[in-house]
Amino acid sequence: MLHDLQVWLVTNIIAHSPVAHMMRTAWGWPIAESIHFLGLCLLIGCIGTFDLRLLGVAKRVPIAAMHRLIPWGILGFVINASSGLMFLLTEPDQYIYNPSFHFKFLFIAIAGLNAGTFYLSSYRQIFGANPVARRAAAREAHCRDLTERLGPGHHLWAHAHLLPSGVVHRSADLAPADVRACSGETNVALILNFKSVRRPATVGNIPTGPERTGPTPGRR
Amino acid sequence: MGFAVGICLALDLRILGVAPGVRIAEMRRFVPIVWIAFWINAISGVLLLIGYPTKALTNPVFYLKLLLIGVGLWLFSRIGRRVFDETAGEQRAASPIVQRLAILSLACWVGAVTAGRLLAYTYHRLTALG
Repeated sequence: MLHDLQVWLVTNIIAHSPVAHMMRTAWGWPIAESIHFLGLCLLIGCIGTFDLRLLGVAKRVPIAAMHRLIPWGILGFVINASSGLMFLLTEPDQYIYNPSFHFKFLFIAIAGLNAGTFYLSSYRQIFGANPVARRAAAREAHCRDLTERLGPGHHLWAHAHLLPSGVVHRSADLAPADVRACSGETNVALILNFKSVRRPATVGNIPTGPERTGPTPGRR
Repeated sequence: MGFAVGICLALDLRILGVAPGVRIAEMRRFVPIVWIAFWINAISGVLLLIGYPTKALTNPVFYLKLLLIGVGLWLFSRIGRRVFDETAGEQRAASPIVQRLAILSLACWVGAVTAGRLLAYTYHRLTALG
């Protein structure tokens, strides 16, 4: 039964693989492997250091601050999953029948379950019921606020205002007056030290429109 | 490799602006882990080298890999000397010199890992016998 499934998988992958041709060129497999290893370094360097922090290394670093490395670890995982899939789609019989590959998948699944459990339990205890939704709500509230002040035509600008590359700052960059001026939800985001939303530096002197793109005073 | 190179990458990313809430001086706590991981790699690497000395020693890519690892570690200690400072660390990390060192360090590790992987494909001789 299981063997039939394995044979079916291998035969079908070999017959329909979209990447096998490219992977069998002189540089295809070596380059994919290099990328796979770099993804591995990124994955372990970011998620592994976060795990070490949870285990008590560098206790003075706030867990929330450390958590901002996680997206880079996820990037590493995505790099690994996609390059790994390319190996599988090129030489399926090297993997499908291989007990080491089965164990590898088992351990990845355990890691996934572990992460899921963490986000549903300890993480909630540290950061509240749904920090992601709360952060999104804080951003949305800020965005609504900006749109109201600037007029409906500036809704898109208000959204662009919140893009990570733009005016999303950490709490250290905010003047105390700015922090006081922020809404309660925003303050939650600030305290957690997540990417926090920022009011225009010129509180009380509202920018006039989308053409205002110069550097904000006090920005680094 | 994951921890040795990975933590170096994480430090470089922090210098280049990722996770700004992490005080950079505190990242020195991870330095011993980099060195432990590095020595595990170095020792197992020497064992692999003893297994097939000709394969590696006749391949120029092997020397490129060693060079990149050497420069990477040198950059790591240079960056560390500048930024693992309680008071001046943050300011120094933002300086153009350290920013450039961090980019160079990223490039070195990407190069070292790539060169290491290519070793499996670029050798001319597996053993001295042919």
